[in-house]
Amino acid sequence: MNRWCYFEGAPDPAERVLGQCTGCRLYDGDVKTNYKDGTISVSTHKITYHGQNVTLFIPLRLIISANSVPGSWNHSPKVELFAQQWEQSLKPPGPQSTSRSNEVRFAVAKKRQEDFAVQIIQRALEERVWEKQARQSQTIPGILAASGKSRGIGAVVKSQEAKHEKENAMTSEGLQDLKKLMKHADDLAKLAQTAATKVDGQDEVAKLRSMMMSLGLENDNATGELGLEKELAVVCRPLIEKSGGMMVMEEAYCALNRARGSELVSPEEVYSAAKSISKTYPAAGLLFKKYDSGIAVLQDSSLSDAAVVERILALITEFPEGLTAENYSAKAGFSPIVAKEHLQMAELKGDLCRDDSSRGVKFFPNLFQLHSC
Amino acid sequence: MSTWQVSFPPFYTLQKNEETKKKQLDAWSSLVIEHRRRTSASTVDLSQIRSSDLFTNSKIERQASIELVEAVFSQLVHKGNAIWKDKSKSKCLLSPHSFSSLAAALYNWAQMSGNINQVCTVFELSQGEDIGGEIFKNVPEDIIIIALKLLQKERKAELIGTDGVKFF
Repeated sequence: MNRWCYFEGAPDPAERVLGQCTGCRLYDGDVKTNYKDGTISVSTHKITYHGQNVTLFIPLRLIISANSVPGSWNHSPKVELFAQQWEQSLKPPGPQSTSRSNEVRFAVAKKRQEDFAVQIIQRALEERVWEKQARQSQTIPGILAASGKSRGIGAVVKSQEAKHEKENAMTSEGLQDLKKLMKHADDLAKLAQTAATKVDGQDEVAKLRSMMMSLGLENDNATGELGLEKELAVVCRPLIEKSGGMMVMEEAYCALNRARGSELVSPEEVYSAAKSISKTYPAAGLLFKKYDSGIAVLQDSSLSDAAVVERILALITEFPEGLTAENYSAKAGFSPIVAKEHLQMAELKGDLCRDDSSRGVKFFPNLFQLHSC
Repeated sequence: MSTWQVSFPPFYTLQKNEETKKKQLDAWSSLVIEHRRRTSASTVDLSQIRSSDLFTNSKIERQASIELVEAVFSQLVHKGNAIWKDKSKSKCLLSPHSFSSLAAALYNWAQMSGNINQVCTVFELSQGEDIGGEIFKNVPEDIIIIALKLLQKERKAELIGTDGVKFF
């Protein structure tokens, strides 16, 4: 987020806008900023954000690579740019001097826009129109220098020129390194592309496995079974604490593999480690549970069904109009999927009854059971 | 009968838990019968009765779902208070008392009033002056006939024509 600077000048005369996306929001790492509902504009020279009464920009020469992140049910599609820091002497004022991440991120409003934006940015990066400009502008100070003045305006112009030349030399060097880096990234991207096209049609996990194989990495669990339980405990414990005491198995699988980075494990291996963890590694204090609906979770062993129901019944008094899964999820900290499972479980046990109206599904204490008349 | 259920939103949703559902349907059955005793309509159209005050509470903005209404009347049929009038189960004949208790009361009356081996008309059973405080008094004839059919099965009566019955 510290790569963005306030744009106050005029666009370069040779600058052309290549594409725009409206309804975009800037992110600082994973965190949403208040720069939302803006228009991201990609030109031959820079990427601009215009919204919330400001215009921010990042010159294309700082951008090393761009990639798109497709959206999911609760995340909008995003564009991620890997960008260098500004040269200290050249950086105009900007909204933030520090950044949570080295990546510049923004969310787009509609599906596919992220791919569109990345394509445009990549093309702009290939054409490097701004570089041609930089080279051309070098000749102009030279004309003034020919007047030979050593005092007054001439001297000022000469020192300006000298400064310009030095800076241009620096950026050229930087650009050389950049070029090398981009070539490397380019190769990797091409490799990933071939691997991807090879495995198209297989399921997600097989795809991942094949890609890793083609990049020369092993996919075997070399650490042994107990090792995986320990990993699971270490990785999942903080996440479990954060989400009320339990997490769905899909999240556990993702978290484990994200932590590993390489030598990924399959869902079956994670599942089987989770199922046995209470016996093979009791010190972790974790338990595997599968609900009637098929949803499986990894939870703190102290969180029995009875404890969950007790908590719900205590909470439900705060909701005289009925408790929805959303309310319960927000209050208790469980993920919405887990929250729904809990309420259904309590209903099955006869502790809750449901109200299904045009307002959606709400749960009440089971007064039918209490008023046994 | 307590009516706390009528103001309880979940009462209008067919419950999924079996035990809860049973208690819910029992409560609805009682409500329907009480309602039936106050009115005199014996044929019930399920989709029509769903829109009535009986199955709607505008104060809490709830209306019984069609599944719930069907479940309530299915239970009433099961309990012997109603019979389906059509195969699609959209209409039923609802009795203020179960058909079996009507049958018992009819036969009992026939014995007490010396009407065994006598022919009576269904009309006089329903509207007759000398019927007194019997539960079948003023009950629609089509319902009395169903009760008489039960007696017929037990060979305690025989229907004669469309309007007569002989008790044995």
